[in-house]
Amino acid sequence: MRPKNVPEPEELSKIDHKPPLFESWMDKKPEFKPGFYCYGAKAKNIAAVGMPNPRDWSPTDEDWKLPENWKEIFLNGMKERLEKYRSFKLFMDICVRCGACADKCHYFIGSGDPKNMPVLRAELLRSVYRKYFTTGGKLFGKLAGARELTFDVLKEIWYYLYQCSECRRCSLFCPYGIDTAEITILGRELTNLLGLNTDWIQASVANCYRTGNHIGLQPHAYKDMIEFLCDECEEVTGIRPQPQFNKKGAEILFVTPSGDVFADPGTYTCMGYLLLFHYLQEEYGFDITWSTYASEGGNFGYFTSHEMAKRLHAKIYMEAKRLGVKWILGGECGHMWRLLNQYIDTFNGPPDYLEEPVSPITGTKFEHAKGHKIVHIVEFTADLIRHNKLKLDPSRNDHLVLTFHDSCNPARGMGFFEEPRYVIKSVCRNFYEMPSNTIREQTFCCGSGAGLNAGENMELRMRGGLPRANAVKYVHEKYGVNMMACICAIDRAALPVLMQYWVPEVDITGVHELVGNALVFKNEKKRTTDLRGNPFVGAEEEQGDAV
Amino acid sequence: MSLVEELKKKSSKILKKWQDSLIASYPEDTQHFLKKEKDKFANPVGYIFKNELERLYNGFVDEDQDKINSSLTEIIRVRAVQDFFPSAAINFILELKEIIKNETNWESFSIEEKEALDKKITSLLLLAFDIYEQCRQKLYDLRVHEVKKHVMGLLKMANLVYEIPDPTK
Ligand code: SF4
Ligand code: SF4
Repeated sequence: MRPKNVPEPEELSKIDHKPPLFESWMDKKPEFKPGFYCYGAKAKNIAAVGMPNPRDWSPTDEDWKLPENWKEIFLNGMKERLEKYRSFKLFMDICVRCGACADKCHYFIGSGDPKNMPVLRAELLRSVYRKYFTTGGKLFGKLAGARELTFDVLKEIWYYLYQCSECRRCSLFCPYGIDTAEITILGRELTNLLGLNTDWIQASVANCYRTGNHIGLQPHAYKDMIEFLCDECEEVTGIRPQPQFNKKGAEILFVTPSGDVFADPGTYTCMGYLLLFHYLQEEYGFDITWSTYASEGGNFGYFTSHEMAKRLHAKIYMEAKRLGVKWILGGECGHMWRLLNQYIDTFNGPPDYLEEPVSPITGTKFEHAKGHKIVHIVEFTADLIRHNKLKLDPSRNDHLVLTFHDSCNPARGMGFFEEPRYVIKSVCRNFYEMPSNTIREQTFCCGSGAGLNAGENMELRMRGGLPRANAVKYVHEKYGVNMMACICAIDRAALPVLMQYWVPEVDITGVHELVGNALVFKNEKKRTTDLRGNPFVGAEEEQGDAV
Repeated sequence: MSLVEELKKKSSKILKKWQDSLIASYPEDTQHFLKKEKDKFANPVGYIFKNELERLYNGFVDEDQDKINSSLTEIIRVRAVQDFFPSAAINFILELKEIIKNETNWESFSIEEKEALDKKITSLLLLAFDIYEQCRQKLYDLRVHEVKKHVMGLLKMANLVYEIPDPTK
């Protein structure tokens, strides 16, 4: 049935779509469209970590059940942050609306909704800033681009803050270096003062806080799941890894996003880690332990507030301290790694109880990790390969034609470009880059970062991921690419779905799954399939010949 | 000149108008970007619309069903995840009729020719509706599939599922 009050088709296609930029956009009321927002955080998940205003609510409710003085809380929160973060104040003040960032956001590119232009996304908050914190705004109101903080304005701010994946692509193009991701991060902090998060994020936060990982796997179950993956390794390779758990005095603690442990295709990446560690253990006496308590590398707290991010990160470091390890090795994760690198020293103080990471196998000092004591596994493996410490047979990945997706956090956030490519090229023989304006620092986001990887906002994810998928489609058609590698767990969860919508011929893998395929063990059985059970090139014919 | 001949002769003009009308379904600030940015990786939506609408038009005039199917799918796959009501998402098909009426010597064509065109556009519209529906169905399937994948891992781990062994292997 046609919804009531819906105009005729000809009118419809042109409906509500003529707001000239920077003029009447302020007057438009926000409209929540299914598919573009996530469900509201549940009371129990807000209460579990002692965050404000726990109650069940939905973004489409008339009444968001806000505290009576919500406006005061929001504005005080803003004041506090303007004083605390000079960058925030600067970003609020210096935008000249040049528009250089406008068409650089994947959500704008995919949706055509002008409020997804980074400049307008920030303007939602900036207009409130002007009204309450600048003389011009106080005096001239709308003329000075200022507007009052009303409930409708709050709703609109919320709607668009949770349509930003904090990917930072826009900042690359801003002549002033304004980082809209930072504005989103602080804007979300303000919404969290009112208990306005999404449940996908808040439930993950509550679970991480309680059990150490975002789905609430308890320690014994976490261990069981890894044992199960060891069985799978044995089936394919004849080798059963012998992982160590919670081992006091181990040299290194390994922490990975829990998605690697329970969700495909991350599980194959996890099998890659297990095989690599086993190989190193056998060959070089490598001493690494998993923890069933620090069982989540991802930090969902970062999508709520700095404070919550700090609390969750502390768990990983406390576990490292408790076990007495020398340093931490991080699995293939994006935001975990950037956060630990860039924030831990100031969040929680330098972890002086750990040592500067040194590879026990090659002797390489990871000097850049001197402060935070954590190394990304792709750096670690690249170093092993560089020193010829692994026996590899790249032909075992000949059935794959690869490309590589630079995940926003390691790539744009950290300049981590070469190591993953070096590892991939060492273990695979067919590799093609996507076009240059879609990779490295200019990489396009998967469309599901910063806690937007829920199911109910699928349309948002698909259109946000369109620029990424479009570049994949190009290399698929041109070079026959059938697999895209990435080094981020959110990507491993989000990209398969994105591919199924836009380029179903391409699948997703972690880099260590490829390493696991190529790694040659002394006592392995005759291997005919990759870790997923897909036959190696030539293996099928050989089998056929034997019959 | 027959209607079909004129559709071929005036194809670039008609196509240009059709592309403009498709882009006019977006807010003004977006229209500028969709038209101006020529890099196909910086502006995938504009690029897809420009190229696929051309293929669609040629397929339509030449009655090449494969071309029609694939180009229409490319366009609608994009529209299905944007801010449109279903009717608005596929309305550009109906606009083709208006454009043809305005850009050709409409009155000079026979009733049979006009009816044939009408029919062709109606079937294009119906096809567009089916494709739109398939895209939406795909989105729902992806949602379900994603949840299942997560749950399966957990069930396996807890030894709560028994997988039927395959006796043929
Ligand atoms: S940070 Fe990324 S998602 Fe957010 S506005 Fe900038 S480009 Fe868009
Ligand atoms: S590029 Fe920078 S200065 Fe220009 S509109 Fe965007 S945020 Fe403002």
